[in-house]
Amino acid sequence: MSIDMDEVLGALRRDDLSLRADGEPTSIPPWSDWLVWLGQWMRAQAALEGRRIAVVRMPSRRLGAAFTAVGAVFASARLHDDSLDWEGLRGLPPGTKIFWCEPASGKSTRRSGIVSGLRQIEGGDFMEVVVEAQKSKRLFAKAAALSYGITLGPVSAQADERLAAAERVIRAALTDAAQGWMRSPAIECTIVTERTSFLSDLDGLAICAGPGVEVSCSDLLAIADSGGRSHGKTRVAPARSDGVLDESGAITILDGASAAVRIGDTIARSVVVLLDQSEYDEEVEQLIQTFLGFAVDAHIHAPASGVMAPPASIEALIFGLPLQSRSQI
Amino acid sequence: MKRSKKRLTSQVMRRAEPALEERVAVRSSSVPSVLGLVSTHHANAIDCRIGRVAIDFRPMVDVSKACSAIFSEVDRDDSVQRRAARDAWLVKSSLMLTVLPFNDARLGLGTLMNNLALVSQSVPGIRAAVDDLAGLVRSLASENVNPKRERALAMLERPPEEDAPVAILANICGSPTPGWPITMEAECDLGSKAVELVRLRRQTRNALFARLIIPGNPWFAPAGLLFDLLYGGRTSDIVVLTYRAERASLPAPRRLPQDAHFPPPSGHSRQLPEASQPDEEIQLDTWAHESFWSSIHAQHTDIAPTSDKDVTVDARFVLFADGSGAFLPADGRVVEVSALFETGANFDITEDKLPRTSVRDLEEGDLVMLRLTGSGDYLDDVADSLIEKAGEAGLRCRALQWKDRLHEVIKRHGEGAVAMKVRGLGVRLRSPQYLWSWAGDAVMAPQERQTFHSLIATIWQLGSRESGDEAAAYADARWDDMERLKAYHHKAGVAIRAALLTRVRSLVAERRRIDSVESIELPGVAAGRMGLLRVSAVDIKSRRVPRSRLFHLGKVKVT
Repeated sequence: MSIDMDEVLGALRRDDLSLRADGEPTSIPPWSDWLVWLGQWMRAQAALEGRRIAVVRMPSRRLGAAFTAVGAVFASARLHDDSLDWEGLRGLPPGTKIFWCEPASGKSTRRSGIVSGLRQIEGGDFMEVVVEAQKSKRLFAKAAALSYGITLGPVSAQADERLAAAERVIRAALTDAAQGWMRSPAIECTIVTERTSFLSDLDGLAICAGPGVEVSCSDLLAIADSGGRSHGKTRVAPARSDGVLDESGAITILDGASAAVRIGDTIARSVVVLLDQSEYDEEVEQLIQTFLGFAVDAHIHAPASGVMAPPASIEALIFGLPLQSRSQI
Repeated sequence: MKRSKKRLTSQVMRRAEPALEERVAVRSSSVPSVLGLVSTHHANAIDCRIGRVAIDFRPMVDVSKACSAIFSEVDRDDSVQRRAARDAWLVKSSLMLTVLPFNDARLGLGTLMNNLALVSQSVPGIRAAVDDLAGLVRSLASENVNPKRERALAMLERPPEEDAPVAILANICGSPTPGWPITMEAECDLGSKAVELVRLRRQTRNALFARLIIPGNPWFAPAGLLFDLLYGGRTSDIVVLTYRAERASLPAPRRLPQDAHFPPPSGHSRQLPEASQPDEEIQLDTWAHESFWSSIHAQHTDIAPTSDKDVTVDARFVLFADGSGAFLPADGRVVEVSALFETGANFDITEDKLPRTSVRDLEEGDLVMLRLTGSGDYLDDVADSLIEKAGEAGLRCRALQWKDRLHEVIKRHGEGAVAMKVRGLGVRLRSPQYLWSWAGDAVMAPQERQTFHSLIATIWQLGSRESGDEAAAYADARWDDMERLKAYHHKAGVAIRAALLTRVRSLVAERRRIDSVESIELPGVAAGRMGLLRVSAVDIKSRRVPRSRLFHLGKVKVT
């Protein structure tokens, strides 16, 4: 795949973004602006050859993972390819439960059903689903399937409103935002962190993309529930999970030393490691040095206009890795 | 390594840093949000100034010399003399570090000098130095002028518009820090409410300080706490207050490797001019700090795995206030409830979980829940009693018998050969070593049924068992057994949690003060006694210990 990195990064009008913290409007501070940029860049690179790891050290990690993920969300929405969603839908095995939104007399109703298979009718592709409430069959045409916002997890009416608010902000902040990304089934970003403190830090923080166009940070990230049952674009996982940490998703954020030492258990194309000043200790240093031994510079895809320099309070390092090295190093 | 050494600084976009005035405005605005707090941490980290105030005070040079003389004369292989060396170090450190009056009984100087005098009767080589030191201590206590106290009190004054407190680092060389008794309180002892004595890292999480005073050499302070204060932007004004005879240097963060994409950090120097000091002083400080943990580890030299399946893991030794200690898994988490007991009100009755903390982040004063009798995870014992009651005795043994077979196969063929076979069947395996986790008690089973089928098929193939159908049937049967076993574990977890919550709630409601340990009897859970233990110290270095030794509480002799 080939993408114009400058165009993807430039699609987000970062200067138009602002924040609201505990009800007070405020401009985006330089450290968070840079992390948003980093999240965008790392997510965009995930669509290109190879793997890469960025290590970022800051005075405090708090909110760092959230802003990096916000950047990843904007880049994902810009890069999203609707046709891949149909590929995802047609690949669902029969028996998979799905959820969608059915427009009916001016309102929309949430429905669920079980995929029974694919059908071809007069040359057109359709996905056949048994509607749970009615036990009737329903066909989704390839051309229209995505407009129903089909998800693998349930979306309540409230969650639907939150997704709509996030979509409004994405459309307002992004040039050429892809339609329907927010409701597309795949998880885009995995944040490995301590869930409770991560979520409590997000309380009261909103992202604004213009007058009256705002959404809470957690809604913009569309965080899936911990069991992965509800629809979401960002997964928050604990560092103590067994095995591979990020089975799906283009970008993984390892928040803190406990997460950083699990770097060998990631498979995402782009990994961001966030550390505070004391966390880059001997153990993490040795681990990073091991990975640096396999570094491939060609897998860093810098924008032609250059990378954005971090503010003076942040230090950063990035290196590429061979794709086949994932989780084997 | 294929990294380009070419620097691409011309291709780096630099955003304009906010002007100093803007950063000052960020700091002085009293924004209570997390965003405001973190922004101030960043602004402070950029602008932080660290200065040193060195106090000329001749008696401290003499104290230092007397202690060095004692240290150089004692035989540190002899436990009595080793104790004398430590007492000498405690006298010197208490006098140098404290901001209390020198005659404050809490410094314990009288007891320490008595101990030294006693030892000096049988070690003639230290007699003269001990006499000198005793004279100095008497003189300092009677004159009762502590120059460090005077300077510190003068520094506590803040500009009137500043509402953040002044902090004093009271954990200068681990815990307990000589000269800083735990009973010390800012208001009583320093006459100011607007001063915070900082001992623990959790005090720095939401903190902003007008100034930080470090009253001594912080080289041996806990790294997390010290780095938050020095480099984490908790303040923009740091003063290291020492006697000229005190060595003082600041540990620097490890250097991040440089790449060809991001510019090197603009790097504010955080180093202090070194104070001149004889080498023996450095040796004495280093020995005093290292001898503490080495004497504890010397008591655990007999740790050996209980069987081949008893894998070794990284663990940290945690010392508790009741004199017991245990190895806890370095990458694990434990129930830690100190905040509940401090705040009480925060313990929401609807919460169904007790808070957990990573073992890496444990620090002095934390209140940890552990099993007081027996060892290991109490979950298995409770689950086993439920299994027995349900008439399914033997379920655990049957469900996990495949582990013995896997263990046998790994031992016979090596983990590399087994891993290759498993991978050949489409299993994504983290590393061949991970097979030992499946064969041992660390992990019950693979997460996916299909992976388990492939694992059993591999065991069958390498174990020369013939029929593939038999392997599949065996895998299905064991998988179902394990699912039932997991259900019992779940039930056991619910029973234990309910009992613990009830008991902890009542303790929190009583505002029970727990100084060392509180035993918790769990009605209906006959799997051993639980307890809340107050953490006294945590070894910052990990050790490899067999898994069976984790959580195993034992008495520790602290010298």
